[in-house]
Amino acid sequence: MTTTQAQEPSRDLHARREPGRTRRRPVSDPRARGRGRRRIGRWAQTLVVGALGLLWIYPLLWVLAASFKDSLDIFSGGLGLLPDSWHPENYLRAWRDANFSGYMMNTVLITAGSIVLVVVRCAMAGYVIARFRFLGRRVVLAVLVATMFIPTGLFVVPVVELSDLLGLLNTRTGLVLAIAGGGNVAAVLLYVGFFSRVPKELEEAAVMDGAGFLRVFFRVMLPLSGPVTATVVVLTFLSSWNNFFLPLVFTFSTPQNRTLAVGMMAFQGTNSTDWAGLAAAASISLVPIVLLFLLLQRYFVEGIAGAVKN
Amino acid sequence: MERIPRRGALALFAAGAALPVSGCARSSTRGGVAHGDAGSLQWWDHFDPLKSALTGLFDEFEGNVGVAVERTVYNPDSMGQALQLAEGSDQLPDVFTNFFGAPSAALVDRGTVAPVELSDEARRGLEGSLFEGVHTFDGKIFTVPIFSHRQNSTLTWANSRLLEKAGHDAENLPSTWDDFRTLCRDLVASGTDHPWVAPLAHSDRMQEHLVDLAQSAGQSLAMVGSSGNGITDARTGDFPFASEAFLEAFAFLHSLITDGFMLPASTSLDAREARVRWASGEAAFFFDGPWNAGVLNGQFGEFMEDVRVSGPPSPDGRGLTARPPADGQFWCAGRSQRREEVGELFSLLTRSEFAVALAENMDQPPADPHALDRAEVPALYSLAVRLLEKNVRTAPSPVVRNPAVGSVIAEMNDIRPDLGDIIQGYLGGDIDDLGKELTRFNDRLSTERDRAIDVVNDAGGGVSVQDWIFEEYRSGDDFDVTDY
Amino acid sequence: MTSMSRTTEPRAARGAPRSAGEVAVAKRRRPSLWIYVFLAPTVVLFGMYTVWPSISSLVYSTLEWRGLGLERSFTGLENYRRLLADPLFWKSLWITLLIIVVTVPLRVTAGLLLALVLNNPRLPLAGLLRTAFFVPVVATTAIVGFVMGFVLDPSAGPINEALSILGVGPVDFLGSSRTSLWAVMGVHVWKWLGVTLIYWLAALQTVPRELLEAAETDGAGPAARLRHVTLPLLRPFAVIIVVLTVIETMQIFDLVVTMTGGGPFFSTLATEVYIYDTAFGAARPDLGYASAIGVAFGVLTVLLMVVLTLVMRLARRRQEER
Repeated sequence: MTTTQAQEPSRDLHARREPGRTRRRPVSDPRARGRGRRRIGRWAQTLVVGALGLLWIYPLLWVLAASFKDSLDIFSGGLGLLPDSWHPENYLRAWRDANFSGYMMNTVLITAGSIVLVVVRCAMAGYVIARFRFLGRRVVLAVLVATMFIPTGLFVVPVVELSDLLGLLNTRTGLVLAIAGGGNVAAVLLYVGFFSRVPKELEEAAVMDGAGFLRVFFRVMLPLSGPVTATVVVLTFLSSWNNFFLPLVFTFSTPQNRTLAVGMMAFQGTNSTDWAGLAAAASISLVPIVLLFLLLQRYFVEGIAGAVKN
Repeated sequence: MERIPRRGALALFAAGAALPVSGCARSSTRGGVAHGDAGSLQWWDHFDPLKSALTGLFDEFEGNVGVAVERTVYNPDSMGQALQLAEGSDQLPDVFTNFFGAPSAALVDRGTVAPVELSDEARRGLEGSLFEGVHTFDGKIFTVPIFSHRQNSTLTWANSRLLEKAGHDAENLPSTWDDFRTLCRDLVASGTDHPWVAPLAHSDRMQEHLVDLAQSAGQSLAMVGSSGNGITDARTGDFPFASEAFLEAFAFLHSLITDGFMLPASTSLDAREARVRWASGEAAFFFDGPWNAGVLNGQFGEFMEDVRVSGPPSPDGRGLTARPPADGQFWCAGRSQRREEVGELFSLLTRSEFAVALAENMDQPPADPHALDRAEVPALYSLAVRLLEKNVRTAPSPVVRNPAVGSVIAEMNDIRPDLGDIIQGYLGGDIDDLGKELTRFNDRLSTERDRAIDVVNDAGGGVSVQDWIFEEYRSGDDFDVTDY
Repeated sequence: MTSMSRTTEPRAARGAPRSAGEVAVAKRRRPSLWIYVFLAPTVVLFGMYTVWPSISSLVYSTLEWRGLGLERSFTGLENYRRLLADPLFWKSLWITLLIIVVTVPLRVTAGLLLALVLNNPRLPLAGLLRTAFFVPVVATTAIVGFVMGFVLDPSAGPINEALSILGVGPVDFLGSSRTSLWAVMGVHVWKWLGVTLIYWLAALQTVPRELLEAAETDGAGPAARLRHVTLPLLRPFAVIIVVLTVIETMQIFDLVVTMTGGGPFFSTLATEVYIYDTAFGAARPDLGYASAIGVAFGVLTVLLMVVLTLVMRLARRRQEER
């Protein structure tokens, strides 16, 4: 079953070859009419789902709009989008005064570090677990699965103690390790599942060519795992981009290392909240993720196609 | 600084690729114990409105002493966790505000905070305003009060335009509960559907409102802090929450809801959101502290001229409340290596220049009442502070009589539902028999206090329930340092 | 895309490499050292950041420990004794269970329906629409709490305005203990549906196009194709998607903290919220007790998962027998 799937080009690519597909069918009037109806049906679907989607995203569009309003306008304007007057200086306040430029840099570094670490370590572990029998394999798997459901809310306490012991507290390295080190069981299991289904011929061919263990993994297996990696990247991205507690604790004495999520805190004061600044800050931290998703979404599809060709 | 990100990035990639991780990738000086960057003094607080007052102070300090102060402002919601986690990992800053949730005595006991050496001038200026068990312990000064204790969170803030629309003289705000309700009725009639907004989701603030209202109804209280387990009946030393005055205060708040005067959204608002809803004209009344003027001035300047303020409404119209001697806000970490500098910094906090700057920040009123005369502040803020000066009394504090009381309160477990939960539950309709619930709460608190007293006494504390009793104190009086 | 979803299917995870050839190849290359080298990062890091904290929590739960940096003293099972008698703990368990039972099926089915529509490559603007559903996933909780305050507002919120047209309401969604939990669940579904949608989209990539076309040629309509081709092929994914969704749902706590803080009157006090509250939010932090709640919750969850897995396996076996 795996192989059948593997030979199946992705649907999006297929779509572009539409004419080729229709050739298989005799061109007859009723079918053509059916297609026309179907096209209308699709537009109707788009309309319905689109309306739902708009409703779905409206609150966040409102945040985007709020980032251009002043605080009173946010509250008195109800859910209207257009500001009474434009206040782009909210962004200036967030970017410069609240140091979101620095926070952005930190967040990008920390997220990138976490992603690299998670992908590499989970792929390596998933690979050997999937393709080799070795002593302790079952134990490793059992421990991984068992810890999936443990509530992690309190882990921050021992993690801080441990990091302090190792001299990793207050360092970005320590923070990356803490974010990427724990959990991520799902990522390991994703790789296990993927690698256990890669046809053995690929590996054998590489070995025949004289490739060693490392070469087989890095040159053959890891590149094949594109789609899983994309998924893992997205999941890791989500968890580390918005992670709050660990970055908070790891930047107590080093405020210049703070991340966007922690920096957001600065807008909520004792007696007042700078809602407009907060909205601007939220928009700043949201836009990169949306872009990344739009990009990776394409990668999902092409990744499969690529994996299939090899 | 510019190079840090690159170094950090390299370290991250090194870590990601091969994982030979050593502690090599520190992107900045290791914090360790409260000494941050080599040159600077670390300072954490949760008073974001004090920015300009503190900045001026820090600049002066740096000029005098040559040490920069690195200030971090925390959101009060996360300040407590930040402090705890920082203490657990030995990273407390040199100076911080006590948001541990533990009374100061407990911090002193465990060495979290250290005494400071003030200048002679500062010591002279503080005479009569330092209390043993609050600011000094064993005669050593640990902290200095910067705010006045003559304040409450239940001033009546009103939108004059809505009042005038209801045909009411906005210069003459309601002073009794009945007047307040009558006026609300008129406001509804004139089109302000829900005249009162309150932060019902903000349980600490609602507790303060309730305590203020109960005091205005004649309840005499001994207080450690302004909410929670530290509030007792001054005359009996018992927990007071089922008393007549408290029940009346509950009934007053409840009537505002059952009569439909409360903005329905109130149930999910905190004080910050409730304020904005009020400022945007959705409701006419909002109970809040004097800092309301400061926030309005900063965020909603154009609204200021429509705002009027008076004391808390009360059954007798006098609106008298009381608070115990003001806590010191800033504390020096026990493991700070800059105690000497902190002492100089704290000395600066006691100068009248700082009090003036503080007044101009329009947050809680400064400890020095004369500062207001020289501060340039909107009349609204001065008015609010003067109202408080006139109508807020000094409540007796069991901690001042016996500092070990602080240890008892620190030892007490939280009782849930606590007062805040009960307020929310009763006003939200989840508690039917309020009297029963409050009596049960009192009983559970008493039992817990007895247990805590035993624990503290076993450790050589020497506390008894007698320490909570101030028979001679009457509501409406000041209980001064000489009365203990 | 085959990848992502099959993967975590228990069988794949449990199973040994299927072909002896693979093992043989591996053996020839004298790989055993490399195996452990490859495993090392995960084992070491996982040990440090997951296993160690789990064990620590277990130890903490036997301590009287009032806050970091403070003395800890051993109290044995005292915290657990207190736990059993704590009505809030049981209430919080019930709330957590309710949240899972309501939102997980909702998210999984709604996600599937949306995915079926959005998976159609010829659907105009499909990519944009997918993004629309995904964006709330990445929105910061602080801002979600803030916006939803407006959306659910009883006086001026759009939902209540819509309801008033229907002659219903106003409903005090977040402020009343009768509705707050449902409102929080609704926002939770709103925020996280995008992830479930992505899971299903990934799963749908594995349905071979030929099968669908063959079915179409055989005269099966869209409904029949869905029922007889697509859904059966998706069934294995359902398990893993449900599991992932449940795990995410257990992390609902920051949303609850922002929106209601567990109130009004404990009506939204999910267990993780209670743990957090006890450890950090209370006037008097109680790390020992919070750990005990955490451990008890973890054990109960794992038990629940084991039971669920057994039930599902049983059900599947019975189906196969038929």
